[in-house]
Amino acid sequence: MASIDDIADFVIVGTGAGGATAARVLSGAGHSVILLEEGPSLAVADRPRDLLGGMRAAFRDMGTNATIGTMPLPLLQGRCVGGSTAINSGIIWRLPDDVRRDWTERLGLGELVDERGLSDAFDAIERELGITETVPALWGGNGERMARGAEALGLPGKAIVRNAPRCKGSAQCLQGCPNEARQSMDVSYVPRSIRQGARLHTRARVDRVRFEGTRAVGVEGAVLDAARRQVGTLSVRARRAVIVSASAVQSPVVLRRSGLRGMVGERFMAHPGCAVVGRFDEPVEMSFGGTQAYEVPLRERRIKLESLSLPPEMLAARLPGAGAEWVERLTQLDHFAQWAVQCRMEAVGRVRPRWFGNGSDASVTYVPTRADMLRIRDGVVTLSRMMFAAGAREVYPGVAGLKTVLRDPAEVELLEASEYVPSQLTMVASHLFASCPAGSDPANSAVGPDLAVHGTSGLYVMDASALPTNMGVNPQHSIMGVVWRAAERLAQQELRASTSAA
Amino acid sequence: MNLADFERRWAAAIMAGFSATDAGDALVGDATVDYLGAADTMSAEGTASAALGLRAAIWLAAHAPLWMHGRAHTIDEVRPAERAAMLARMVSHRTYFVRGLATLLKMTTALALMHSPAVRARTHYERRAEPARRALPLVTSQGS
Repeated sequence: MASIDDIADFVIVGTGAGGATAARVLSGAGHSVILLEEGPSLAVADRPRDLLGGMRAAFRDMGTNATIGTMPLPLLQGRCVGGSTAINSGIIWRLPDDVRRDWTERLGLGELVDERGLSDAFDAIERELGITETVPALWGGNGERMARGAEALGLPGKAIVRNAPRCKGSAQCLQGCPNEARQSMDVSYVPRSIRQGARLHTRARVDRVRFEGTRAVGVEGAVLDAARRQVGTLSVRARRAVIVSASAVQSPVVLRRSGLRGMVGERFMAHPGCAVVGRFDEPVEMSFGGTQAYEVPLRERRIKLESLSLPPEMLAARLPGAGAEWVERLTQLDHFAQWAVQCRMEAVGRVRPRWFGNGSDASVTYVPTRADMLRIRDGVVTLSRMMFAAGAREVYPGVAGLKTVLRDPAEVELLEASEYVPSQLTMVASHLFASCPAGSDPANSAVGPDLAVHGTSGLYVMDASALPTNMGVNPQHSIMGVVWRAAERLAQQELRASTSAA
Repeated sequence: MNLADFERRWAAAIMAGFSATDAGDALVGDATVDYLGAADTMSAEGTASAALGLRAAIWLAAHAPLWMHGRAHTIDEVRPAERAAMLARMVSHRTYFVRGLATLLKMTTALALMHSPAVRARTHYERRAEPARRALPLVTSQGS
C-alpha cells in the first residue's frame, strides 16, 4: 500500500495560482515546502489534444460538477499540477483599484492590499511570467471580428493581456498549451519552487487538517491511483504552517471537514457567463490565435465580453439543431466565431462537503438573482449586435424559448423584449471566489488580513476563496498578487521567529 | 455506472442519431466513432449526478417516439431522419428538464465525434494548411 509520510516548514494544499505562488515565495525565502496536488502531473506532450481525453486528464469531474439551485451551473476547474491555471486562457488583470479601496475601507484589508506593496508584487509576477498584451497578429479571426464589432458599436475593446509571452496562436489553452508558451503554474512557479527546494506529491488528496489544540500541525488524506481510487494514506506534518490553496470550492470543503465553521464556505461568489455564436460567409478559423485574445470590459454594467475560441467539441455542442441541419453546420466549423459574456453577479452562494462524497467532493448552492440575469441579457444582446456589426450572416444567441437563429440585426430586439430565467441559458461558472472571505472582523470573515484562519494558529487560506468579493475581472493575477503579499509577510514573520528563537 | 446492453443499444442509436439523415451520415461517413466509449468516460469520470443524468437522458430519448408521438417504439426502431428530428425537438424543448438532458447527450456526442480524426477533419475546424510552396525549378547553367 502506497503512503506519503513527510514533513516540512510549510505544507501547501493545491498547486494552482494560490498554492504555487505561495510555494514560489516561501521556498524562495529559504523555507522547506511540500506541495500536495490531488491530480496528476501532466507533461504537455502527454496531454490529449481532443477534449474527451483532455477533460478526462485535467478537468475535475470532466467539468460535470455543477451548482445546486434553479439550474445547474457547471464549475470548470482543473485537477492536475497547475490547477485551473493549466486549463485557463492565462488572462491577466491587476486587482481593480475600486475593489482594492473597498477591501481596504470596508473590510480592513489595507495592509494586505496596500497600493505600493501590491503593485510591487504584480510587477514581480509580471516580470517573471512574461506578461504581455496579445499582439494583433495573434488575435486570430475570432478576435479580429470581435475588434471589428466593438469598433462598429463604439465599445471600449482592447487586446487581452496574458501570461503567454511566446504564444504561437494554437488556440489550445484548455487542453494545455502545446508550446508551453502559457506560463501556467505547472510550467512556471511549481518547477521553480522545486528548483528552490520544494517537494511535490501528486495524486495526494487532502481530506482534513490535523490540529493540536487550535494549532494546525499537518494534513491527512489519501494517496490515489490513476483511476482516483485510494491506494494509500497521506500524513504530512507542518513545522510552521499549513496553507490551504485548494480553490474556492475545495478549500472550504477541506476546512469544514476539519471541523471549522463560522464564515467558512458561506459567501461563495462567481462570474458565470454564456456564449453567443456567429456564422460568417468567410472562414473565421477559430483554431488559430490566442484562445482568448480580445475583450470589451464594461465594468459599470458589471459585464465583460471576451473572444473565446473553444475546442470544436464545445462549439459543435453549442450549434443549434440535429440531423442534416446540424451536420451542415458541423462541416463548416471554420466559419464560426464565438464570444462570451461574463457577469460580475451579485448572487451569493455557499459551499459544503458533499454528504455522500469524500475528500474534495463539494456541494455548491448558488442562484443568480433577477438583476444578474438582466446583466446577462445585456451581454447577450450586446454580443449579438457586435456579431452582426462584424459581418455575421447568422447569430445563435443561445436563449431557449426565443428565436434560435437570428438572420437580421433587427431581430436582436426580440432578445431585449423579455426577461430571462437562468434555465433559458447554458451558463458556465469559471471564476469562483469568496468562500473563505478575508476581513478584519471574524463575524464577517473566515480569514484575517494575513489570510490566517480566525480562531486557529498555523493555518492559512491562500487562494481565490480568500478574496472577499468577486472583482469583475479574471482573478488569476489578483489571487497571485494577494498571495504573494501574504506569503512574503509570512516568510518574514517566520524567519524573525526562528532568528529570535536561535 | 454500467449501462445494460439494451441501454447501450439505445445510447448508440441516439448519439448516432444526432448526425443521421435518411441519406446516410455525411459527417461520419465510413469513420469509426466510439459513441459508447464517450458515454462510458462521461459516466466514469463525471460526478454521480452527471452519470445519473446521462442514464436518465438515454431513457428519455429512447422513449421519445412514445412521449412525443404516442408510438410504442423506442428511438432505435425509427428512421434515422425521424430520430434526428426528435432529438432536434428535445434540444430546443420548452421544458428545461428535457432540454438539459438532451444537451448532455449532444455534448457527449460531440466529444465522441471529435475524438475521431476523420470526423474532425471533415468539420474543417483546424486551420487549413498554407498552400505548400513549390520548390523553384533549378536553373542549370550549361556553362557551369
